[in-house]
Amino acid sequence: MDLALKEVTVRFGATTALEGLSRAFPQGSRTFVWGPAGSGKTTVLKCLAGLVEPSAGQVHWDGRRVDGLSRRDKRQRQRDLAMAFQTDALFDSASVLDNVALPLLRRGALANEATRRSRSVLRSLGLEGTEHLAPAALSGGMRKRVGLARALVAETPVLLADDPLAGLDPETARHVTAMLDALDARRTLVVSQPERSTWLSGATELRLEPHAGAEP
Amino acid sequence: MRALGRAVLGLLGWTGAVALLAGRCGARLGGLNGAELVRSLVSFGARSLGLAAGAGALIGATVVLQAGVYANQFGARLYTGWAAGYALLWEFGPLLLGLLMAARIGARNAAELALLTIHGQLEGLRGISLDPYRLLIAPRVVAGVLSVLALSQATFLVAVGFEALAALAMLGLPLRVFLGAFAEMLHLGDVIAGLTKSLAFGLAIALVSTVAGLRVEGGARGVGRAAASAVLVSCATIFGLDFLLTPLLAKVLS
Repeated sequence: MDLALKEVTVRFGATTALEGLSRAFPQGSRTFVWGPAGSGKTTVLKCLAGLVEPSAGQVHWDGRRVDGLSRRDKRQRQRDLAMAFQTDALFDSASVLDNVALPLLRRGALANEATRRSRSVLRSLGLEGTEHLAPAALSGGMRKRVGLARALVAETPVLLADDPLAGLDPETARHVTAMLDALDARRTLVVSQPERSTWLSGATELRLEPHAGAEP
Repeated sequence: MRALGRAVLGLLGWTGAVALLAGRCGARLGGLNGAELVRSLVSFGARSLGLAAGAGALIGATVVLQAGVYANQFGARLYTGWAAGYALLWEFGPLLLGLLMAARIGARNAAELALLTIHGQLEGLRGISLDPYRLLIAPRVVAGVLSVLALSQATFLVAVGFEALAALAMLGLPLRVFLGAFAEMLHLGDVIAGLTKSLAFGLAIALVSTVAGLRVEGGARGVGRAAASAVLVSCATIFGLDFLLTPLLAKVLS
């Protein structure tokens, strides 16, 4: 799936989060979005995911303007995207396993298959044994990994990871970077981080500055 | 003048948000998340049963004592059962339970949704292409309405029982006389009036508290404000609905 931002400006009240940002994210590309706090990294990812509507400019999915899609079309196409949030954003009233299986079940997977794949992703992120716990019973780093597992499990063509290493210990961070780096090369991957980094092979950079346009 | 303008705009904002929420929840009634519905029914309904029953007992006993005073004054002691039952079904039962549940269910729902909003859990669901209305919000609204409706029936039964006992203990009115007047003079229309009011109040509490939770801004203070405004606006809405429904139901059901 191709993604693109065209002259995108986003304002929240009096605050400008992005101004006139243009950037293409072709299918299979890997992009590091980096910049200091308040530079609009999360906003870039949310715009790409269709969660934030630009105040000006357009977001394109496969060449089509997102603001021109019907609500049904938008929901349908959003199924090709998954976003791992800076906060874990887990569903408190469901177990870890149910949280991770949710995207699969809602996409029509059978319960057995959803459980099998969810367990497999949890295992690969070092979360074996936490399946039946409530998210509240986990540490911050573990919750973060569950959030990542939930974004990974449906194997969507696009993965948007917002500061996926924040709050992780060095060992876990290495594990997560290796896992993201090993993702299928056909998937479009956009990762945000506050500092410049080189762990994602083949990635291009998008540097952001607070309240200013981006440097492609 | 400016304050009046702000108040009118605020009222319009709330009304619009409640109408929008009602439409969104209505459109998703067919595919509610069953697990969240059951969890919310337990949280809102089953866990409020003790409170509702306790309130029902006190309301029933108080209403019968008040009704007994007037019935005695007018030499209509034998009609105490009817007067107390009428007051309970039409007014005190739905209204007092509604206010109580605005504080109990409304505050809880608003605070929980506010926290889910602040912690990004609703946005998190959208981020993985899941519909938070279907999964989380509509089930809570439905559970809120059903809980208030079921609790109103439980409260009514407890209140009638305590009315009869209080009439016996405090007014010396035999159970047979009290319940006889109650059964003979009250009609299905009176029960429907109470049910209709409870349904309307339950809907108001569920929708208003959900809007309050979803409109949260800021951190802990925002959660506090959401819970407080859920209670305040729910109570105001209940009083307004009561004012409108009482003459309307009397006209329709008479």
